[in-house]
Amino acid sequence: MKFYAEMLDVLYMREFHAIAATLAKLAKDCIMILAQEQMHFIVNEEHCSTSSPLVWVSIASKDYFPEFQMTPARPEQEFIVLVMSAMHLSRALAVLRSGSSSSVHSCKLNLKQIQFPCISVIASVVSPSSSEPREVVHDVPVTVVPPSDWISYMLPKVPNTQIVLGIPSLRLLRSLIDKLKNISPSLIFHGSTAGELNLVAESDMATITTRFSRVLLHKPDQEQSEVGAEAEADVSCSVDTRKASAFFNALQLPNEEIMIGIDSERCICLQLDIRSNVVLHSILPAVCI
Amino acid sequence: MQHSKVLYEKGIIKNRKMLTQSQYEDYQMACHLKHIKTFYSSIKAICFSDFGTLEANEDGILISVEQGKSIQATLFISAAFFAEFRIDGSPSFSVKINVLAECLSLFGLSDCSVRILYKGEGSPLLLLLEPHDDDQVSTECSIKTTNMEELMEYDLDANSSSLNTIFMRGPDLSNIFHELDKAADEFELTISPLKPHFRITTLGVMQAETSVEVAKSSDMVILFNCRETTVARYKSQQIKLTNKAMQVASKVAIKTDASGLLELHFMMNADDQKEMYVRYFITPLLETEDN
Amino acid sequence: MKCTLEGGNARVIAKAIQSLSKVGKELFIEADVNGLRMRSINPTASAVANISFSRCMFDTFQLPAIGSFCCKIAMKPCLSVFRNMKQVEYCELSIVGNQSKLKVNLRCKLETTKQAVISIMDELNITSNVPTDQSLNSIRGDHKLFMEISNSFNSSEEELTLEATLDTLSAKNYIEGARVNDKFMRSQLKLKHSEFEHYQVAEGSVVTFCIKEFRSFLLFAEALNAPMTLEFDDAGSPFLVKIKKHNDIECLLILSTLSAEDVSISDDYRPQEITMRDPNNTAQKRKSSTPGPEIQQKRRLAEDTTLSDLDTSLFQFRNRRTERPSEAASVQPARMLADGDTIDVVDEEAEEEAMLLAVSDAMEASQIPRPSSTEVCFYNTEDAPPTLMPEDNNEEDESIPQSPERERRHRVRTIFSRCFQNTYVPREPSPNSQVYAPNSDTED
Repeated sequence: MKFYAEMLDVLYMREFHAIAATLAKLAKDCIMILAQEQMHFIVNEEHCSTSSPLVWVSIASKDYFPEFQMTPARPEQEFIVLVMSAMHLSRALAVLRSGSSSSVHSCKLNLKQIQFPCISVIASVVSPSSSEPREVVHDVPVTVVPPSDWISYMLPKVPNTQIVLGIPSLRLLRSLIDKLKNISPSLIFHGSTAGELNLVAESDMATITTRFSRVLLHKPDQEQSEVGAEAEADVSCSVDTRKASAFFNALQLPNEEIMIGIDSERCICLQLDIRSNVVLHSILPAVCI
Repeated sequence: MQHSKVLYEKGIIKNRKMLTQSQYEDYQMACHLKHIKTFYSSIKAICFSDFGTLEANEDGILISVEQGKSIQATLFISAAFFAEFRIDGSPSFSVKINVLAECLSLFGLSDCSVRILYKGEGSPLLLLLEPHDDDQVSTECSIKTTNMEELMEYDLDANSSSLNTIFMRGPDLSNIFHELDKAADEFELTISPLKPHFRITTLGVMQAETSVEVAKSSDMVILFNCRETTVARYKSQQIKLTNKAMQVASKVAIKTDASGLLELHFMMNADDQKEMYVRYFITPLLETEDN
Repeated sequence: MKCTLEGGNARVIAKAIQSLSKVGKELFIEADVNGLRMRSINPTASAVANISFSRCMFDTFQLPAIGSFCCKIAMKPCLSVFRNMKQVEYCELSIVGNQSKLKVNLRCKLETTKQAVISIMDELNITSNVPTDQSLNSIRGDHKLFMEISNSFNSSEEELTLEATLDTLSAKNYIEGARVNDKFMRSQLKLKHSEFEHYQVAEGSVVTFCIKEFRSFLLFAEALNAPMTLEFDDAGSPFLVKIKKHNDIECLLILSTLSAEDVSISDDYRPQEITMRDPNNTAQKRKSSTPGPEIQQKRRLAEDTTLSDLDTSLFQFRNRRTERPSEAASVQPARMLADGDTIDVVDEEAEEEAMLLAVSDAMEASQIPRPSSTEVCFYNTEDAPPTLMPEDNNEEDESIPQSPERERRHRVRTIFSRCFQNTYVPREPSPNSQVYAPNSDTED
């Protein structure tokens, strides 16, 4: 079992840290699944009952890592599956964030055994106060998940949704949902094929309706939507406001657009395209009012 | 409310009471504010109790909040502050003040314009918010109102020989209050024609007693009107409730007399210099009468 | 005692108090012909911080008739007086109320005056007798560099290990080869000797010390914009942090270090490649990777040692240190100051520069020789206390009772206690019931 990867691009390193920082805001532990050409992270598996939502990130290794070598324990196996503290990972990568104060030449990830298995994060950093590169090493303790248990750590699938809307005002949406969690425990996402998204929070004290008009419509299922293309259709789903707020508040990525898919009264699917092959997903299950 | 009505018809919005059917012209109160920033920070400054009462007339709007029978805060917004201000009669009602504050801050730091609408007794208070930086987004808030609760009446006798009045620069006074020992239980306020002129002493801190004095000739004092010395003690917790107003005030007026009742006026910063201020009444602690 | 100083210098004193407040809950103030000295000792007595200001930092400096003065005050009220110093133009410190109170008068901008009267707890003082000029290794660097080292580690970290070799310095939050907690993230930073202004390491050395007090001193170095010097020998002997500014401000932090005998080192805990012969049993990997019975036994022994060390000392200095004639005393652990109690005010640089000028102006005038070492002792300026502890012979170190240690949640460590152990001063909360140990040195 071997894993070695190296990053050299400052922008990618910063993004990679932003992903880890997002995960750290959502859960204590995260799962890292290493495949030949992919790296995945999962936090808050579905059976988890916390107020944080299920979130997963898939990274095409060639996008971020010029070098990416993964050798499973046995040749017939596809993956290496590790569990680690999301906070540790985020802290270990924090050095990659500092763009102006210091520059990072490279960052290596290496699976090692030191008393217990660790992912060593080795960054070569040049600080403004000196010209010499320094080596900063953090050994993130990991637990290796045996193949017999992999079934519990399967990568979730994006559910089919009747409608997918691209919201360009992520900043406003984040602030709005954060405030709405103090108004009502549940929040209705209502989308229409006319390119409109409504968020409704209702309580005894207040009703708050926010309209995002002229949003981009992405049709998730061509065949289905062909049928109702003429008529205006709308779909809605009610979700836990705190869960939604936890997701939006956790985001540490600079994206301004988010895709929101609505599966009528089943779930909301959120998708953040960090780059074309680096995607963050989340599912907010429906709640009954 | 046109949009909310559509959603009600579709069954998305359930609470019919929160919708009003009236045309725009039928509202008892219809005001339009171009920038909510000062309004929001003023509401936030008096947000220390559950309910606030709103009273409106041709001159403007008053929003009052009380805690117990010892502290009252009132926000005054003159009609000139609004881009549009139409009042029919003198509507008054109570609302949950923190819900009002949350609604005004739905879009965080983005500046918004707001329309404030009220149809009459039993109707909700409507806020229509539009962020300036994104015209594709708008919000309709409908906040439940209840009948107005009676407010305490406080008054300082304007003809009293012991009435002392000081005007100070807001940021400087805010610094002084900010630096008072947080651990203190009580603050003693002394205003006197001779030295120390203006003094705050912190009481109830273990192993230490601290005080701060400002001479009347200080540049932070705009007006110093004092004939008799007044000394009174206040609960530090109540003085701290004025913090948020103090932090954003450009000028502060301090008034008190021999009774010890403290009246504070905070001129709120507004970009267009139109009037909006918060007035506090704070009752003194009884022990001072022994002194 | 009464002394006055202008605003810039008062801000430096405020910074010093803010730093000392992160070490201990009480502030010891001492004034003599040399100037003003402020000290603080941490609850486990593993760190003593000492900041001295020469007389020329003061506009006026009046000593009492007896020629010197010392007192102990609670840190908290002191900190709140010296928290906000931006507006301060002039500062006056005086002792009032028949030596029972310290009065601080701050004259501020806008004709504002702040005044605080702080009760003096008693007239105790502490000194330490660790030699401060004999270390084999000495490293000096800009405060920024040490700040970067400190910032590479999480704020919740308790200890820092420095591995110094002839040409590199590694800062680690663990000891190489020693076992760590299963969830512990090891971090390290490697620096080349050329990054430092001065790097003199005679032979390889590894020292482990508490990072909290180190960080509090670092804040003061930053406030002074001064370089910091680290001086140390090897594991178990004291670690010294020095900051010096124009001969007018001298700071010394003495930290105890973890002794080498207290760490069990094994190759099991060093990096190696992961080999998984039986991947189906990887779930048991963690368990099976724990050492076999022999090593387990060894570790249990080590744990036992740790436990039994509760009432002796884990951090012991080498014999050559303890053999020195000393008048050390141990202090009962005090409650830690909550982090929230301290606030840092970053001064503008202009103000700082003004202070520097004020300091350097008076520089030449103050070439008063300083003691090269400070002594640890408690003494009372009043008459002999009602009861006296029998004077301890220095050779009988082992029989000296240890002051009671408060139980700590994590690893219980009595750091530095040996250094203060030669004289025992049981201290009660009430000053009247105090038992004092006299200074066993003949110097008084």
